Amino acid sequence: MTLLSVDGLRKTFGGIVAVEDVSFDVERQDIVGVIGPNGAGKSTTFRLLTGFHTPDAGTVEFDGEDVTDLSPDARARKGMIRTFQIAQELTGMSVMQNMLLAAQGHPGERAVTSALGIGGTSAFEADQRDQAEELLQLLELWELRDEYAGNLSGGQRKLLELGRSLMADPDLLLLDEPMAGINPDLTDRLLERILELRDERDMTFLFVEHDIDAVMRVADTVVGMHNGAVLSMGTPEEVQSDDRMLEAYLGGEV
Amino acid sequence: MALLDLLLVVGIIAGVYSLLAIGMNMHWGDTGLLNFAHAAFFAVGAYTSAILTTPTPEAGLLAERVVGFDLPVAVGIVAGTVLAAVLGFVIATTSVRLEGDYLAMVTLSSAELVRLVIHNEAWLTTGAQTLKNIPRPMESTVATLPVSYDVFYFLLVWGLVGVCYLLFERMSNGPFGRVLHAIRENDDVALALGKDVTQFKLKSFAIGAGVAGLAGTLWAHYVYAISPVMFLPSITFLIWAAVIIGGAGSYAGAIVGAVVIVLLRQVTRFIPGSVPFSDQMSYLRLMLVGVVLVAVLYYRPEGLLGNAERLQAGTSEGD
Repeated sequence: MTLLSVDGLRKTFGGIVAVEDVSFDVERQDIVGVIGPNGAGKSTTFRLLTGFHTPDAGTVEFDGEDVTDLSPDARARKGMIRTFQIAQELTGMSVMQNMLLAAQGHPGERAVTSALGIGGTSAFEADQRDQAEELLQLLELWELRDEYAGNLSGGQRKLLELGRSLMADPDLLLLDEPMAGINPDLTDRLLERILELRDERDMTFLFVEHDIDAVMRVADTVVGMHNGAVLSMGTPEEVQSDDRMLEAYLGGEV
Repeated sequence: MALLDLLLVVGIIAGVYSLLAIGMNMHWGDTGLLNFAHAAFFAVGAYTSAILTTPTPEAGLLAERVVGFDLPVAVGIVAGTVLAAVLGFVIATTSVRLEGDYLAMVTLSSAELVRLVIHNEAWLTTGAQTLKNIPRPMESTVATLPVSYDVFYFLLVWGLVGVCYLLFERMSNGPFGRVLHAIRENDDVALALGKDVTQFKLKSFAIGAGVAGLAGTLWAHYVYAISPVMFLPSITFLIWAAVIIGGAGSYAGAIVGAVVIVLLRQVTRFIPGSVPFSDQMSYLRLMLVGVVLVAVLYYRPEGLLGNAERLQAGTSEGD
């Protein structure tokens, strides 16, 4: 079943065409890796999918609904959660607060319920704390839960960002270079965890990644981009053996 | 006794300023919004309550005002608070999507606009003249008690400061405040996590404006008479100084900052006229606020009760 359907996306900045006629589908419980050399249009495509850019043409459909004109926050509430390439921690908030922020539909996020502690705020909060603990344990950040996120190392921030996005319990998790800056040991465990989550929570993943090895290991489908267009699409093996992708990475004409 | 009476007056002013600072701290300390319209919310609270609780003036040479409602003071206080919140919501609706500096400019000009409307719409506000005879709440009842009215009013104002402090602390430390803090730190993250950033900013603006309106109503009902010159932008800047001196993000700090500012302003009032430069004294008094502000920022950048660790963490880049 198709969860995300991208059709004919186009985006220009001034005279530069960043993305041209990008179309692909993401099936439910798929793990899709988007690869391509620098300037291929991966990041722009990512921003178009998440609503941080508005396309000049084309549509994005999520779960059968056209979300092309929805704002980033509205898309997130529908179950599309993104991470950032450079971890965007809320540095002046604790690790735990970062995690709890991601809770969806929190009854305490209204001013009145927050001020008076009514409407099931504390029960919901307690439940979220339990979930946060579980994830922080997994990511080896539990000991740091009361630390300001700004005091974490680059790799820890990356992990926190991943944990925070999982707290939102998304249907589709869009990861912008999740493996960059994380040691290989942990990368392995994260990839394992992604595979588990897919089955446990019925999650679908799309990630833009430079680490081709990681993509090839977990992705079901790989979308290879070059010069703002989809050059090659298929299983990791198919894309890997596509000569045009090799040319693209080596900087040749295609 | 004279000293005690004076302290009560200073204490009441400090309480009113504390409420203003609490509102500003929600805007700047919690949400990171540059609000320069605070004097307008203060003015709208004061004028709304004054107009609602005074009778229509009798026609006379100077009585230009043709509106008055003679309602109970409690109605005026609630209406002034609500109307200031509505004004905050309206100003924010037009401007809250703007980035920092632009928001500051729009709010500052909005505040001047409000003051000029008050100044010019004499039929409603008595214009540049003083709107007089604003009733004091429960004055006749308090007169039968063995305490002075100022003691009663001091307790009333600080009681409300206490209630507001508790409510705002809870909002700030609860899930609502968490979203505001996230917006202060990074809008994009809040958006990516599904928070309607604009809605939260509007709420923050309206709530902070509302408490500034409450301060205005309490001010009007204490001083009997108000005029537009009481609501110059300098009020906004004094409250900014209070929040920064106290420590942005801390409601206790906002209150301490407000008390410090009021003490600086009121105590220096009594420097005798015989000292050198006494002609320039009123300006020197204002400069003193600036000097204290600079000193605090230099020696304690997080403010008296601010959180140094957070400031530190907020500026680190990771590795």
